[in-house]
Amino acid sequence: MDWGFITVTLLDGLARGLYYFLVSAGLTLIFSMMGVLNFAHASFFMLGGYFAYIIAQEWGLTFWIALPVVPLVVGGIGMLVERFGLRQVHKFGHVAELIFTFGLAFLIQEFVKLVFGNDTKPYAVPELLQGPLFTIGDQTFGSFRAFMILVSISIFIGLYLLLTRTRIGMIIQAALSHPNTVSNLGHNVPLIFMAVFGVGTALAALAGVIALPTDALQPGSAARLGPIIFVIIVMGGLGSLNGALVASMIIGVLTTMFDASQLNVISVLESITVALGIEWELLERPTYELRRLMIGDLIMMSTKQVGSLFPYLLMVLILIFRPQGILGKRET
Amino acid sequence: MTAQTERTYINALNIRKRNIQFRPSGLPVGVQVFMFIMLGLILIGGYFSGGETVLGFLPVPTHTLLAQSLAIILFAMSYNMLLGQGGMLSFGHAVYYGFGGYAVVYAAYFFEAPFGLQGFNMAPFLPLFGGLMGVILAVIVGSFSTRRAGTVFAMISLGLGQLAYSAAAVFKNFLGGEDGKSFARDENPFVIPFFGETDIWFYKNETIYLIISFWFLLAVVLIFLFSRTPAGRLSNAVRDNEERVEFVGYSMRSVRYLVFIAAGFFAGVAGGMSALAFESTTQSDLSGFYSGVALMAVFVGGAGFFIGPILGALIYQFFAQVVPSTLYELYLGIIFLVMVMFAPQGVAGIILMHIAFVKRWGRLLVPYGLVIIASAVAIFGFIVLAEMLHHVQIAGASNPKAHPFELFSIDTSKVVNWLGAGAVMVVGLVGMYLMRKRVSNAWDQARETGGA
Repeated sequence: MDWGFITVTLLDGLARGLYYFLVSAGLTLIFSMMGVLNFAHASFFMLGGYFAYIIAQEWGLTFWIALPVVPLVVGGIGMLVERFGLRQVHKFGHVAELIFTFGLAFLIQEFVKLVFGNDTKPYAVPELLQGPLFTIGDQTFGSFRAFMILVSISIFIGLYLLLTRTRIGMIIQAALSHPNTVSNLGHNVPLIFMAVFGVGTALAALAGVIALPTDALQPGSAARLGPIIFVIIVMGGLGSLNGALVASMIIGVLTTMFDASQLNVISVLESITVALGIEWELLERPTYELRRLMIGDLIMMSTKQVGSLFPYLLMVLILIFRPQGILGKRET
Repeated sequence: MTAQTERTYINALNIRKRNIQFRPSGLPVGVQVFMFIMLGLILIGGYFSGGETVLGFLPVPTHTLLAQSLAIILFAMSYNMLLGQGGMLSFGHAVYYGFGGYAVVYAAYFFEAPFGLQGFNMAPFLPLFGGLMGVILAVIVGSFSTRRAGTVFAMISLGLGQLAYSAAAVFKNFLGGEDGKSFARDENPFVIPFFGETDIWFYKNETIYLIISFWFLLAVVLIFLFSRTPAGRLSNAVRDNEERVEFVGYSMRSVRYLVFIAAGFFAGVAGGMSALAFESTTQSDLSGFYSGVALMAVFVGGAGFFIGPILGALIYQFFAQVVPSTLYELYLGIIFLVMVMFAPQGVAGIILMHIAFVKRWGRLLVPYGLVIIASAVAIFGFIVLAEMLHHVQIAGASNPKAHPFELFSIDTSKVVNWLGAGAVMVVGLVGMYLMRKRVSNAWDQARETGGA
């Protein structure tokens, strides 16, 4: 066993899972509040990446300025969307709200295409964080990923303390479950909802700032991340923050492992047949011949391809057999 | 007694569920039959005028494009069965459309010479194989996804849509990757058994158009009839209040399942029609974007109205094929969002709201005219801005002349032009905002004075 490879892949997976959690935490909070999934959530993640690109690359200011500024800006945009968009649609019901966020995601993607073009933007890692943090064997762990882990964990702890240890957090939690009672006690519930929406989108934007240097920044970023985030919050249980954390870690580590490993189905099958001492005529054939077979699609599948399919399969299976997710309490 | 306990009580008593009925009722023959005859005449008119110019000024799209439009309209209508009639919000309806197309391509392979029924060409019946595929998939998927409507249904459809889209890229031999699968239509004349050769040639696009219009008309009539059967009415009841439907004695799940299968069938037929017209099916036919197209067409046209998806799909096709701009998706997206926010009943709903008081339209004329002028100004300003931005994006500084909608040219290097376009847009928007009160007053007056 290559322990260096396993350690580094696990740590990379942790970094990815934590930034998935930054996005899905905001989405979970917003879902608990509105009772509706925000389809445009990943679009705010992408907007975060693009705004950071403008500040850090085009304006020549540093990444360190983008890091605090972008979440504030995108959070402000999110609050405007809640105030003038969602609240307007709310009277037409849940389906209209869901369709509104779907249309918003589509529109943000089109606007990004219009303003920034279709190409992938070169959005580099800041100099201070370039290079490896440590090396095990021939595997290196980048210091930027360590930074991602650090930022995500500190945000998570901050959010946890805010929600459970402060008066504002208590009011927010109460407003999520019993909005009418909180309103009768004299708190401005619409304002709380707007603030929660803003915080949720700001978290997504923060994830965009710290994650997109390691990923490709392009108009398709949101459409690529969005379904994965839905898989995570469905898997964790809709409305459960702890569930979202667990599911983020599972999906982050698994997708990273699938991406990093060089295996494919045929090599696994071969090692199994060798271990069991079975001879399977199909596996003896040359590769070029296998590639042309219909079943070749299945046999020649790489783990990377499996990784592109399994999150969705997992989500559908969970929705069929355990709609409340791992830690969720309510069925929707 | 709460709803939950009441339901378990009914289940415990083992009261038999009522069977769903199919007999059409309340079919006012005159107008509806006339409508379908008109539709048939329009389709036949398309056969004779495809690719030409009518009345000296009106260009008609080619037969292939007309056939594709029919496929998209049918796709939107099948989506309307789900969302408009059954209340099921799906983000993966293109799966049935796309796999319907793949089924047609494979059926075409299968009925080629070695398996052909002695030269009997299957081209006219190919769309049905798409429908068959749609039904098979819908029976499998619906068996678990229709248990609940709402978020769970939407998420399952999204997951399956993503799964199918990713699978098309992974299974390159079977589904052809991004390029998809293609076939060639038969070059030989159509042979009727015991009769001999005819002068019908399937490689000709107009023949295929006629075949597709036939299936389209049949499908539209069937969808219409379905919406008027007790089963179709029940699906509306499930959409509005599923609990009450259960109390009346029907199973909401089987009603949803039935509607889901029917929608899968028509989506499959639509995909098959498109595959037959283009001789290919691609990965993008089962993408989430294509599911979004159906959602947009239905919502903009008017969910739940029979005419809604037809209008919506035509609006989509107008933007996709006629509007001379690569930014049509942006414009569509804005229209979609504005409709969701301010007119969720869609275009068909707006028309129906006005039909109630045709005689008092005069009162609306002036305020509507003013709003239309103001919004036209705002739209014009926005389009010029967007096209200028797009031009700078693709052409850079070397070629500063942008051509919005190929109507005129504007210099993107001058700041004045940007400010001017922005100012025009703002003036239009302010005008629309100021007109708001006047329109709603006129609307209230026109509606109330007749006691309508």
